Amino acid sequence: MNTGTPHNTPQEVHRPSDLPDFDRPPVNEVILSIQFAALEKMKSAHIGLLWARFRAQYPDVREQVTINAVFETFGTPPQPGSIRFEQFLSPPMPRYWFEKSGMPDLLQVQQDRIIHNWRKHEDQSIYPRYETLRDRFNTEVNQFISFLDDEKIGELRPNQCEVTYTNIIELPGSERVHDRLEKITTLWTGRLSEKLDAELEDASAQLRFKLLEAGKPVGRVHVSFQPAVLQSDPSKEVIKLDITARGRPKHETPESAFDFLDLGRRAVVKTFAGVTTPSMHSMWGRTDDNG
Amino acid sequence: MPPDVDDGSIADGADLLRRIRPDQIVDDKNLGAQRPSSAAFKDPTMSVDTEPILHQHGLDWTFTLRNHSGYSLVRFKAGVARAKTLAIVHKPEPGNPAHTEVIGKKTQGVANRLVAASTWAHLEPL
Amino acid sequence: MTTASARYDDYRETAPAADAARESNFPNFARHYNAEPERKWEAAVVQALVRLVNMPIGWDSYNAPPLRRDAAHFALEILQRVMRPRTPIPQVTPSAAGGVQLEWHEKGVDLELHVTAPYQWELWFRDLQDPISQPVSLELTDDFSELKRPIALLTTR
Repeated sequence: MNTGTPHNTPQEVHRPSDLPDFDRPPVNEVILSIQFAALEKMKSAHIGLLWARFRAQYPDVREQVTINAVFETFGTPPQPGSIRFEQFLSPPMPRYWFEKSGMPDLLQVQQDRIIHNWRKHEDQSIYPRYETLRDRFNTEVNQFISFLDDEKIGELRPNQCEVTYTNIIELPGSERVHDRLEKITTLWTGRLSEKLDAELEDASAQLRFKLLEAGKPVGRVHVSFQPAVLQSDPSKEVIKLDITARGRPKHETPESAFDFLDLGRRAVVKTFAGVTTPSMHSMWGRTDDNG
Repeated sequence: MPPDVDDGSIADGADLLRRIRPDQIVDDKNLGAQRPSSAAFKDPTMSVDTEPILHQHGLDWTFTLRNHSGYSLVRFKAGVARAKTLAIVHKPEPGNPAHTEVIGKKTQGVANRLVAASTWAHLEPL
Repeated sequence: MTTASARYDDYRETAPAADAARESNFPNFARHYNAEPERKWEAAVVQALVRLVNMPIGWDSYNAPPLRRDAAHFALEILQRVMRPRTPIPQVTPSAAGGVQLEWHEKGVDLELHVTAPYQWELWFRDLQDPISQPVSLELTDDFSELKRPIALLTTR
């Protein structure tokens, strides 16, 4: 039961020493997300009251389309649904962005999610590291819980957590990334069985890994390689590498949600190091002893 | 508010009446009959009317269906619910002296036991 | 697909995302790989779920709350994962606990899936043609593997 005091007591979180570490990781965006049992009593009218608690830090508000609930389930093969359920219902309360124009941090709130984003902006943002972002999000979640208590809206019961890192990978000089994919990722050999009368234009890849604890699945890591170009120089081809760890917390509590975020971050960082090459690690300034 | 304690004032043999909506009636092809869905019995504080108490007040099962056109009605014994460790608590309400609650978690097994023990007091044509 | 990304526009993707690619650029591949079933059941179930989500508090003449959107979504997710081309369409029953029950009572099978919230659902299964089997009654979360056998019986009998 929420008592008005922070449920998730801030604890000093240190970077695990066995995690790969980079001086110049190609991180473009980090997303920490907690999905929870829908707060049906929370309406658009409450948003002004909520925003007042964050306004000093985030003076701007924007409405967005809601993000659909996502579930990681096991025991059956993947099968996409053909009907999106939400299109037949009246729109729920929108998703709201609380932000400060031009700044890297952003808080998003909808009836069943709270999300903190950090995004790189015009080469000016230095990635502050997960521990700092986690602290910021922790504080925001506690403020949100206090708001829910004060307005008698309901209890925060997390049922899914996500950590996403988006990386934008360039090769130095004039080399085309798609001519040298084997330089970027361990998943590509660049060797075809037949010489083709065709030139590789671009490539995409999707991978899924099951996150296991004591042999039981507790979530998934989704990896996506996609071609992209820089807006500042559309001739510069890059690779967008998205890695998302998603799963259920052990208990429907904020503490447990943050435990999963920590587990997810660990999985994301190890996966990032695993699917990229040692030569790219050098370029990014790998500093740990495990490389 | 009085605690939800089963004081035994409602006998095991007492019939309990519960309304069933049309969309909670199952066409059970295995049984070859229409019966209530177990979903109709899942409320942790399930409201029923105790039939002997209705009779004490000169009423009958039609009282439970008053103002609920289109609904059907089942009856089951209080003892069946108690055998599944559910509490039977008489909670009269203004205008309904027979209101009673069957309190406790109803797993699918428990809810299906109540289904199996139920008979139609009134089955509204679908 | 709407995502949680809020990135500044310093790059843009130049190829469709994988989901869209699977569904639009490679329809034959997707159909073969997923054995894309006829999904007539989906329209009927979605229609029923929408009706239940829109019901008022006390819809059952007692105090039952309406079905939550996220519970309805999860119920649909379960079916999207397990339904096969000839699996009979389930009955969609509103639950007095505020959830939804997807149920089948045919071909000697009793199968009930009672969903109250994402990752909170119960399974009840009886094979009436197996005289020695006991009913299966389970509280489940993210693993749907217990559904394989009852769905197979419903589909192939």
